[in-house]
Amino acid sequence: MPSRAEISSRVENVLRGLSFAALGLLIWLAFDRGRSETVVTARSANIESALADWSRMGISPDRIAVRLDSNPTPRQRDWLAALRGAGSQVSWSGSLSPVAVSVHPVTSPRGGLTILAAASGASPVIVSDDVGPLDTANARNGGASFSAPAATGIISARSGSTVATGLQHSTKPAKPLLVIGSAGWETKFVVTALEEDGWKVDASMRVAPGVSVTQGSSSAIDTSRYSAVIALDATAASRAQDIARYVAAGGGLVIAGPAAISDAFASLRASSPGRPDAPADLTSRAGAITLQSLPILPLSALRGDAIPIERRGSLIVSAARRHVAGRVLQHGYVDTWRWRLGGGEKSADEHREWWTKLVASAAMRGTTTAEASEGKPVDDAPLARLVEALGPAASGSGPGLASRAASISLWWLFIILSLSLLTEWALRRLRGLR
Amino acid sequence: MTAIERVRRTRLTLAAGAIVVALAWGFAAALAILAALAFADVTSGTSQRDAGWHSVAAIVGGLVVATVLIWRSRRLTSVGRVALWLEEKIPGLHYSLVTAIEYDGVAANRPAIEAAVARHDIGAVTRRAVGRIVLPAIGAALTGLALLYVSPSSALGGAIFRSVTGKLPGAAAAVGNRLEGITVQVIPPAYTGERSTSLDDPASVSALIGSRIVLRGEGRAEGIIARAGATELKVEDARGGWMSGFAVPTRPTALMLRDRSYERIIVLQPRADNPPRIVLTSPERDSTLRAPRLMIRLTATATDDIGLEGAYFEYLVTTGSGEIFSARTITTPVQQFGGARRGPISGALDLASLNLKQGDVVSIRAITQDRNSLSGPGLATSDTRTFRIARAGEYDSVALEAAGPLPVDSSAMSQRMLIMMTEQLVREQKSLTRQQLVKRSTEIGDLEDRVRKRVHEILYEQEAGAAEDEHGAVEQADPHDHSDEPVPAHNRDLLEAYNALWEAVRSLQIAEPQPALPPMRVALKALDRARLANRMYLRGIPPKVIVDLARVRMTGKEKGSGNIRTPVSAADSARARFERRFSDAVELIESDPQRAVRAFTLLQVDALSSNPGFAAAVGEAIEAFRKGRDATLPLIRARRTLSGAPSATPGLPSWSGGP
Amino acid sequence: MVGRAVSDFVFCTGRYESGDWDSAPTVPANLIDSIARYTEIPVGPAGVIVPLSSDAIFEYPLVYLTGHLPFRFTEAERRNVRRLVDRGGMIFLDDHNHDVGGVFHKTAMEEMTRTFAAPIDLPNTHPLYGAFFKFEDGPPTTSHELNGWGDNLVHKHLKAVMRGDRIAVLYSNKDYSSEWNYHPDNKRFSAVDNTRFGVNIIVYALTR
Repeated sequence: MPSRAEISSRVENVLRGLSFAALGLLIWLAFDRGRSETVVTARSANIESALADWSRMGISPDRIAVRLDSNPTPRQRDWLAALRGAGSQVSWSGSLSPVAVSVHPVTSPRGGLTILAAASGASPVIVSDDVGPLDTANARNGGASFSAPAATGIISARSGSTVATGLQHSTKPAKPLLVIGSAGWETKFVVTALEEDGWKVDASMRVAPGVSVTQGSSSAIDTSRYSAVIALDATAASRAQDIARYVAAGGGLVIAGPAAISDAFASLRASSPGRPDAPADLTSRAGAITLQSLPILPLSALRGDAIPIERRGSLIVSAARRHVAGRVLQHGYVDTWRWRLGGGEKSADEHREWWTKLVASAAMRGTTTAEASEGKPVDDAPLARLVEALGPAASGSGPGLASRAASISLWWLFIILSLSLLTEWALRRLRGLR
Repeated sequence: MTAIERVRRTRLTLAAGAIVVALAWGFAAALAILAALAFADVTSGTSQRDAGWHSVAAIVGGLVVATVLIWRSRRLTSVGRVALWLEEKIPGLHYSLVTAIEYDGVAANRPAIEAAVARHDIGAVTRRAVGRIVLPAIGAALTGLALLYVSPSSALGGAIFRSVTGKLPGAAAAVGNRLEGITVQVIPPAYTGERSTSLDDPASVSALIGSRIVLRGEGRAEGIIARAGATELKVEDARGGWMSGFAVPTRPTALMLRDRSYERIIVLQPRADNPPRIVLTSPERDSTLRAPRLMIRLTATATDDIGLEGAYFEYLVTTGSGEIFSARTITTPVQQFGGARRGPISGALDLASLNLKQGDVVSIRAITQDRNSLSGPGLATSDTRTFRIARAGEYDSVALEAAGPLPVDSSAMSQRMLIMMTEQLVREQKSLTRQQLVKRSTEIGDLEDRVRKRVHEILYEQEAGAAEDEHGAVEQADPHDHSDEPVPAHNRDLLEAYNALWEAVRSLQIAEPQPALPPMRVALKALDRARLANRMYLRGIPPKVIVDLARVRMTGKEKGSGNIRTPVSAADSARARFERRFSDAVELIESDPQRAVRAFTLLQVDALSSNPGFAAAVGEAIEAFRKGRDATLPLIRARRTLSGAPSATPGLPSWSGGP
Repeated sequence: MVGRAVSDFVFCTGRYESGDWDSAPTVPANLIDSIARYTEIPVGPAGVIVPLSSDAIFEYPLVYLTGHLPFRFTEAERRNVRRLVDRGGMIFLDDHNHDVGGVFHKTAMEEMTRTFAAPIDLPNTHPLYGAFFKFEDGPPTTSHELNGWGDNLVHKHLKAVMRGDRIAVLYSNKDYSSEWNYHPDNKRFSAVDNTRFGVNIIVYALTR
């Protein structure tokens, strides 16, 4: 009957043999002789550590399958692309919502941002900045637009689990405006509202033949001097040719209904004005006048290239068009000053804001500079860039069972080798052998 | 002394030494712990106010050390062990001492053993040994004392040490943050009658303008700087600490406190004493009376945020007509309110007591004032109620006829102009030829005649049948006429004017301008009187004159000239500055939270006057930071208050940058 | 109003409760006539009378007020005129008594101070005096200032409550109400049109 020591010795020999076999197999596998491919996977939660692991492997994985439940950062995306370039076959899956964001400064002294977020379907889009959420809207016809009076840091737009980020841009201060009209309440209050909002305004207010009240020098209407020209009534018709040249060179023009009546603006206006339309009870609304209750000269014969901006029922109240390099915005409201004087508590502020927005939408935009991101990653179209880097999402559930088995065989061999060596050593120690 | 007695004595000595050593080391450990904790507090910047637990920790540590040492010396209770110890120290004993102890009293050769023991100076050896362990222990205790002395600790050890040794020159005791745990006492102005209030460690203080604020904190005043805006405040020592007192500024101000590297900002929000209000509740509306007989009941209610002084009624009685009026003011005795915040007053006015006549107007209002003796008193007046005594003809239907103004108006204007032309002619008369004088004089005469004819037409319209005499003058009313119809006042004026105009025309048409002037002036005065008299009858029904714009457009002889308009300044230039500062402060939150809080605090102070809603929201954010809470919502609220809320529109605009 | 491309300037006389607001009934027609004579400003052919307490006042950014009797706003009138001025409107207030010791002036000064701010003397170089016609010496003297009534003083300055650089309330002791209170047809008798300063006031209000 073999003694315990003999049994132990035999077991040790078996373990030693097993260790040599495992070692041999590992050496053989290292020579890459038709070995089965390595497939690795990761999820969004562990992708950062997985990328580091894969990059440290002696041989990069043959196939990398990433399951994404949120968009990877630009760094992670670029890393995956680099692994792809190093020979790994990289695929990704997951239902990421498409979203892209574009951030534009508003051309006005009060600043502010226009944020355009492209998203699919009717998905909710949440826009935020470094402080917190700004606003939410449901996408429609391709996206949603937001107007933010102020924002801090990086702007992000989230739809589902995808977040697009964009940088703010700073612009040079807007150039002055030129207002041309006859001396009257509308001219006075338009100039006042724009100045109160921080615009620098040159003005020409005609009082009598050869007699005008002026502000600034309006002799040359030039894109180097003005962001936009505002023509309020027929008195601007005498400068129509200069204005047309200015707009063609890139300037902005706002035409009010009474000015658009003049045929001198026929080449610029978005439409000839139609018959006036006024709410029946206008005079009884003093004290509660709103923009919607003002009389209008509707834009009834829209040019082919004009885009309707605002409607009142079936009537178009404002429209815009491009004229060569410039932009023209025409509105049909009559006597907006009544809104300022006869509106509610905040009507003066609202009148001011409305005029600034109107002008900003036609004014020449100055040169912009993207603000520094201070090291934070910015990704304005994450899904598009992911597809560009790695291709479209893969269908299927991931690597098959056999290849998964092949990819983990090295680890098993190592475990077997380690355990057999350790067990052999332990048995020898217990026998007292050295 | 026997061997056993020597051993026992040695045991006592060793025990005493062990106790002294244990106590000394325990004391040293306690002092070292105190000193170490004090240094740790300074390093970590925490307050020394909780030094009580330092003492507890020190005592416990000292006791532990002492106990361990005594426990280790427990073998000294055994005589045998002491004997063995002696044997070890004195090899020459050759175990005689141990033997003597073991065989106490029964050893055969005891005298020899005693003699062997006696040959050695056990006491000296013992003393040396004890000295070797006691001295280091005492040295450690002294070191601990020295360490505590130089430490910033104000705990037990340091206090005793300082109280025993007194103040040593050059030994400045370093302390922690003296700006923590401040109390603020707000003492309102005396006129309010309010008591002072006390706030513990406030981030902001709101107080009535005129109040006094007293800050108190712990520690000495030396080295503490306090500044309210640009004004440096005096900080002085007070019982138990430091204090600084100052008057509330009139505008929101940041109170900056600095103690070495520590800084603290407290927002001072002054509140103004609002002026009082008073509402006249009776009479409720204006009235016109036929006769000045009415007892008017007067009631009013006054209110104030702090306290009312008194109130009274005022009657303004206006008498006159045309353009000549006089007024007298009557006030009732003041009703005192003694500082109440609400006070009704009442009274009665008997119009008959005012001796009113037709056309007189009584304007009634209530007036109140508050007790503000610093910047006021604040004064308030109520709405005015007007009581008018109607004139005699006002209720006559003829007088109420809706007629236009009499052309007398235009006659008066022309007459004034004609007088000026005549005066000019008189001045130039000497330099004119006879022909020129006649021409100009007759021209003026013709114009004057037109005026005369117009006045005649008016008279003829109003007095049908009135006939001109051969000179054109209208017959004067017979002063003895007993008809029941008196000549109306304005007609008498028109008659006088007409006759004076006749005289003037005659003089002018014979080229005598100088004699024409007096009757021209008489005519003017008469026409004025007639014009004004008519106006009163037409009160309340002004004429409607429609201008024929097409006829007169651009027919003016003179031309105007262009001029330059001055720009209007921006309505809210502060907003852009606040937005920039707000963004800068937000960006500091992650990298330097303390600087961010400082920036928000200063922004809050600057915004208090112009944008209190924004300042309040910023204050909430600061409070959240201080308490370690999430400040996102207050920051969002602050930004919306300042810049307005964002807006969202489903869909992408067809025109980029559209409104 | 809607039928015209640009709305007319309509002269508004404010009606207030406390006194004889209608004491100069032909001033509106006279000034309308002057505006038409000298300028191209579209103007309504007749003035309107609007209660100060009515919200209709906000249709008329320039309001003319005058009188002889005590001048006091009711709360509603005060609220409206304050709002009108805050939103860019202007008030022209003339003491028809031309008497700084008289009840109209005293009460009007009190009401202006209470409602807006204490009026200040308007410098005679102010742009108002060059807003259309040039008045080198400041406000033109009226023929009523030395007519033996009132305070018998020639007032060298008008007073104003300012909003920044803009005149919000223009106050006169010079009795322009009497000076201009005649039928416009009688201008033909005058060598110099004494309503020209009224044109300045209106042009100033329409352009500042």
